[in-house]
Amino acid sequence: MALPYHVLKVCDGIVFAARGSNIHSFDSNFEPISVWKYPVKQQETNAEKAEIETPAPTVEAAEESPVPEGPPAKKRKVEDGEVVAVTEESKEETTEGQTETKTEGGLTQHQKEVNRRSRRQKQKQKTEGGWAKNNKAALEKPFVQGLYLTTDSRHLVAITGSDKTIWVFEHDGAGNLKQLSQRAMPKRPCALALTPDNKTILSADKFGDVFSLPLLFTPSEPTASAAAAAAAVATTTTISEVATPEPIPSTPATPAVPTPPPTTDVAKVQSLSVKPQANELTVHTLRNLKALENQKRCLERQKAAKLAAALQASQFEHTLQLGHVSMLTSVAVVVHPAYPGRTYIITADRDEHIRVSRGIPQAHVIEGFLLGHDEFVSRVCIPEKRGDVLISGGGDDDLFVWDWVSSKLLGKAPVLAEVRKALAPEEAEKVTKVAVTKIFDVQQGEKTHIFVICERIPLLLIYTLTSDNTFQHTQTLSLLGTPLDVEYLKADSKLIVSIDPNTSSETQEEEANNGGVSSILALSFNESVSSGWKVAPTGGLKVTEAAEDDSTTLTPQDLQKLLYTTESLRKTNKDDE
Amino acid sequence: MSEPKNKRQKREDYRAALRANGVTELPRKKFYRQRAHANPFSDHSLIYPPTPEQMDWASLYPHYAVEEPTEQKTERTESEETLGQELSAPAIRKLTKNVEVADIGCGFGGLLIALAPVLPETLVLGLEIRVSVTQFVEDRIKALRVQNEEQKLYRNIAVLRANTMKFMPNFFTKGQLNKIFICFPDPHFKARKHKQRIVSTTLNSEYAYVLRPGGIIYTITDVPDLHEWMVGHFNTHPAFERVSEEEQEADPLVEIMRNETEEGKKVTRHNGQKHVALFRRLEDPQWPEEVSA
Repeated sequence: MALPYHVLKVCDGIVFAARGSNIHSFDSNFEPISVWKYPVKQQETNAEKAEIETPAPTVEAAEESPVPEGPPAKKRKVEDGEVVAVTEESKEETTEGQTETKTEGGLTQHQKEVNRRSRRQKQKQKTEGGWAKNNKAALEKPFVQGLYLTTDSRHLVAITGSDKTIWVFEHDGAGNLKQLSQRAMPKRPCALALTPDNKTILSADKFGDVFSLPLLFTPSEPTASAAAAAAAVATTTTISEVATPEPIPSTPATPAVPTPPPTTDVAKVQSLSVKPQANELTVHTLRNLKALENQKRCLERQKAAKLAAALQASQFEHTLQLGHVSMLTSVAVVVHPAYPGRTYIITADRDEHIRVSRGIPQAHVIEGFLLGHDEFVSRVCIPEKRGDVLISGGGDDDLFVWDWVSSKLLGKAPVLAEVRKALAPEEAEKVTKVAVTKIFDVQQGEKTHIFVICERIPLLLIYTLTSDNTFQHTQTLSLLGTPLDVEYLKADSKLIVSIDPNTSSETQEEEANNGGVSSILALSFNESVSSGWKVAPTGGLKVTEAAEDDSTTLTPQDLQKLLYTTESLRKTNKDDE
Repeated sequence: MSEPKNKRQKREDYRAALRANGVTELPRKKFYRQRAHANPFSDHSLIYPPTPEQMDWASLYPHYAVEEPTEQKTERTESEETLGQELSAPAIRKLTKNVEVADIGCGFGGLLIALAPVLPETLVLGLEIRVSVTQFVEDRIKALRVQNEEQKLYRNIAVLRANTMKFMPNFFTKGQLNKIFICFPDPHFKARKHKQRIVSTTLNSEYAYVLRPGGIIYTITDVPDLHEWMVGHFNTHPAFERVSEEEQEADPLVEIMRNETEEGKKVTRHNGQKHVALFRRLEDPQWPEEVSA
């Protein structure tokens, strides 16, 4: 299996390309400069293995065996499970204690307990164990999901998937990265945007919230109150795990993450969990009353667990700016050319909405919605030189073009129809829907070229936006394989497209002649000679399967799951009630 | 196992029979029971318009529909034919007035029915996520309209199945609403379910979007902590301020909200507490650049 370079980011003459969970940098001729490797401990502890492989680990065992050496992503998952398990355990014990006297006939209390426990274990196995098994590789090495660059090109920000982490790097201008910070968000970030002043990151997550966090951050020393809060947590194992700094071999400069300072989150949890929310007057049945009593009884333990979670989640400053009740797919911070002093935050979600809100500090004001999509929105693009126009795409057959500041639809341009036109008839028949994975703009004179790629479609669609807002398809390029990302090298006027080498249509002979499968293609534009863009005869980057040191243990299916995630946003669940 | 099947069958038969007869008698609640909770995060198979302009309000409020939409069609010239076809395809009849009051989570519709005679000139819409409950309210309104045909009552209320947490902007334009009622919402006691609560910092921004400045949000609950939660979240939201106690008690709708909702009656029966809080939508702040300029 050859790993593709699935995310690209161009910074002047430097190309950053994420491959799996590592970030490579190249110069404009694709000569390698450096590699940042995702910090993963190589050896797995036995406990870790047991956690993944034994079918039914007992809750007790999981509790007692701290997993200090595992990869961070896995560890986090396990911890979550444990915290939940601990509280459930305590809850059950209390209920059992209460009902014991009442047991009549049938099963003995002990048998009941055994039954219940095994049932629970089965459930746990099904959910957590199964999930962990399926995504084992993904958990070990979370893939880079996105790369973002500050406008001054001095910092690169990356998000990795299953460990929900935002990484900030300092870029020396020559392609070398120095890791400054890593921050694990409470929920998985789906997209990022940077404010124009390059000081704030906006992170749009899977739960629909947009958090702002400072680009540069220094973890503060544990304070007295943090220690006190930590002391309040009953289970010491949990604490030690939370506080365990993750080993980062490649970057000694990275500060270890000590016990986090308390934030409002922690305080909130403390105040929230002091008393039960219902009272004797709000519950109307005997059973509910009993439940309330139980709730009161195990509040202390719950509090401890929640505190631990809150501590973990709030190791750094992050502020909720706005939110949808839907998974976010894209976020942008834009300034409309007509209102130079105003910044807007534009967010798109899986429920067909594109929302236009004001920028920080007035992000609570919703200016409007761009409504009209029938399927999920996966990408929005505001061309750099045409800040008044927004192009959105997703699961619909068309691209939508908006005057976003006045929430007006300017027009649509077909995607599915163009795709079907360009494919061979037998291929075209199979394609009944498309999922847009990237919309990218390149300015050339008066014209704005918009490049669009769709999931699992080996084509590059090219559209043109003119100054009078006509938006139309101009060209379709067939590629060697399915494109994963597209970027523009301004200095060389070269468009670069990364493709999945596993889908390459190159024959083995070609491969041998070229020294590997094409992984990144270079495209050049020549308006005078031929019409439009074409794949450059030379250039690009080849990969060979064997030579790579970071070859993957992923199965093709796993790799597909990690690389092609957009189509799964489509709603298929039609059950009801 | 056979019993629930029978029950379901009975329910379906009852509803079908009721509808076949043109719904003249009030529906009976026991044939519309449904689990009290719905997951607002799941996709369901909801029906909602892509934009508020494409919402077919006339089918909900037939007595307020603009007459003769066909005239417009014939007026179109031949040259506009292609354009006209596109426009007339949905054939959405407009209303003489827009919905201005929304009851989010209307349940079995007690408040709607009490509001109908009090706000005779206003269109009131109940929104409910549970299918059976929505059907009950629908049948109830239909029956009431038939029974009160001469007095022309209950023509200004309607109900809609919707997930307002996700799709509020699909139904209402910016500043369309004047009042929003949130009565006895699901308290979601567990902390990990708090994200499902109908009042939250992020959702309040959406309420501010559909409410016009000066519009009021009415909240009532019997759960003290939920009351504190709602007051806390609206108070800290810059788009809202709490309405003073005096003004609150002077509002006749507050009394109706206390006593006429189904849940409110139940709480009264159990001698429960009722916590009311009203919040006014403030004007949007000036843009920062305009303040500094």
